[in-house]
Amino acid sequence: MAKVFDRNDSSVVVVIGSGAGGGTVSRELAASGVDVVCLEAGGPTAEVVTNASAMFPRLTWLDRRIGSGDLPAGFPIWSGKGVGGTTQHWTAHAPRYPDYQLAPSRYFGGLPGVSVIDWPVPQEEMAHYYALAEKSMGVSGTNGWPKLPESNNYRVLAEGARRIGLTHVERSNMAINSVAQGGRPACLQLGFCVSGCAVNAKWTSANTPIAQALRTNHFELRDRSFVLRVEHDERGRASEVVYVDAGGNLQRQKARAVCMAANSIDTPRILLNSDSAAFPGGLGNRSGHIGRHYTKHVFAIVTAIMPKPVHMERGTDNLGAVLDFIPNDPTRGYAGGFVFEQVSFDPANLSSLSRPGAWGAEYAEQLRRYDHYTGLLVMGEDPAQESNGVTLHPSEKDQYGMPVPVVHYADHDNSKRMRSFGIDRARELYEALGSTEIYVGPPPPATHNMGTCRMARDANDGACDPWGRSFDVPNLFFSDGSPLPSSGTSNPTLTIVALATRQAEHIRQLMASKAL
Amino acid sequence: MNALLDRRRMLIGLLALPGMALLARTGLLGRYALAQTEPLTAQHIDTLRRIAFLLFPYPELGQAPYERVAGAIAAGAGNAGTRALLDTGIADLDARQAVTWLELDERSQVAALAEIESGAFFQHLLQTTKMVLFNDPEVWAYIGYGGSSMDFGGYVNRGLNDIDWLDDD
Repeated sequence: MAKVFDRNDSSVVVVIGSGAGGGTVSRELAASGVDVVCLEAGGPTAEVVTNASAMFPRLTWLDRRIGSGDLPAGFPIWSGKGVGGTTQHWTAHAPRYPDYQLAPSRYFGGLPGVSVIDWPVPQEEMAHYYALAEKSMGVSGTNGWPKLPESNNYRVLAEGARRIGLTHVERSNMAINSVAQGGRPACLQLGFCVSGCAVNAKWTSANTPIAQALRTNHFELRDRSFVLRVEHDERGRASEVVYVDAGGNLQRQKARAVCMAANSIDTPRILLNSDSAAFPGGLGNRSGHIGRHYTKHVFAIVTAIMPKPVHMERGTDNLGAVLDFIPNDPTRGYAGGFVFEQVSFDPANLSSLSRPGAWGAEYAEQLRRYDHYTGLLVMGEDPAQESNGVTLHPSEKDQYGMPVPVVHYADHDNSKRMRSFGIDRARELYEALGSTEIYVGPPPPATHNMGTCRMARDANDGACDPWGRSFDVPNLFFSDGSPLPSSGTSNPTLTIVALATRQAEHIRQLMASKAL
Repeated sequence: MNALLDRRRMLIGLLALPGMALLARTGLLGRYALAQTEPLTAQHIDTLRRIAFLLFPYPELGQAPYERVAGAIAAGAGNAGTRALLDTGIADLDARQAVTWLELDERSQVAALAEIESGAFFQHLLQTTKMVLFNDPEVWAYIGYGGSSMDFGGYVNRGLNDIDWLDDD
């Protein structure tokens, strides 16, 4: 029997978004007896079939966003829509941030034009919450769960790395069951991880924290609830969330506190759209940091045709990683680090991502050898820049009359040098395996979106405190990727879950001490 | 009307995207067809089929996969903007010489396509052909793509780790 809360019930915590952060903070609060209403813009979790083309429109946020700078104009970033958010799509690659990447000013601080700050969370505290996140997500490679098995595509990456003298190659910790646990089965090695897992071997917010929250008597999930604004009372506290419901009706939900978990694009979008006399630049934005310092990863897709078959489609898409280039080494001509991550593509995506403009007999002949292809992603750390970020389009509105977000991102010169270095090493890796057909495709639209409401020790440096609590609005929290101050070289979901777990504990303490 | 405009804007936005986002396009164009106009002529369909073949020529597969591509492109032509793109694009190809483009020899056909490859008509056909042809099970079998292994219990016990050439040298 699902719990239903009155829209005038001002004792509930309203969580906006049901992805990694929103699902986790919802579960943590509801499980400890705090009443939570979660508003999800999309519909119920889509049924998964093993076909990438069929799943793309079911899982993807296709509402209008405008890219500028170095982003694709029509589809600047890639995020999910529907219960579970972007975790329906995620690869489940679940590394921690290396400790020294929590202090990026050490290696990025000297770069021109950057707005880099260090993490306001101590390393040992991150380690504690990482451990909790790995346990709650069932991360293989931790807590005694074995790593996922080697696949052909993994072995190709590992052997190429070995041949050019690299030594830190591993099967990553993945939030995919290597053995049945958590009420979910072991991985069948279907592939299609980024198109949703048909057997739920992959952790998603929908199959774990949202499902767990729904089993408490303290949680209501309202899907097809598209949030437009967060309003405040005369004391400057968040008091009501305005949204459009499934029937297209404008609704208001009163709130004791509000957790923003709508992704690094729509979290600032909603707050920038929540301007008032008291907050003319948007709710919680007296500092001006909301919507700034947007970071993603420095990406390049490298595909290569091997001398003999690989069958890259077999198994977990994103298992392998080469870690040799993580440590900062200025002699390489750039600051910061990157990883290689194993990737695979189905034929339709491969045809577009390997050589985007190519056609004709020669390219057809290459694609005929689909089973010989392999691929990797260069994924590097991106220094925060104040001018990269999210703004509201001055005139263009979406289907609800809400201003369309404009996402601006310009590559830093350091990122260009890093990408170029990484691509050269990838070429060497594949040449060492005998490949003479190696191609660099365009960077994919980012799924790793961070930094737009970043946490900081000092209110002059960010939008929220070290627990993701707004500096301006004491009952407004940031629970998604937007508080992460830097991208590191790690896929961010594990970190989002760790921080949301920590934040929920903090919220419970604030409530217990009547500070909230 | 606003909803239709939004859908059109979204489709236009997707035109700019390489890779996965384009997967959505063909289906969406069909689903959100704005108005039915006169069907494409047989000559139009033949031209589209031939273009699809020359984009990714696999003579051993015969014509059937390329007919399916032409059919998918034609299905998208219910959208007035797409229809206009196809009509003017084919007319332009035919107007480049004394005979229709279809009557040219293969080398000349390819050369004519190379001349228009940066235009919207060609890019529409290229993206749609990739998404339809390389999602065709007959093509998958031909190029060695295993596709869904769901019905066989996954790849876990079915060739996940079976290559033997990595230790060759």
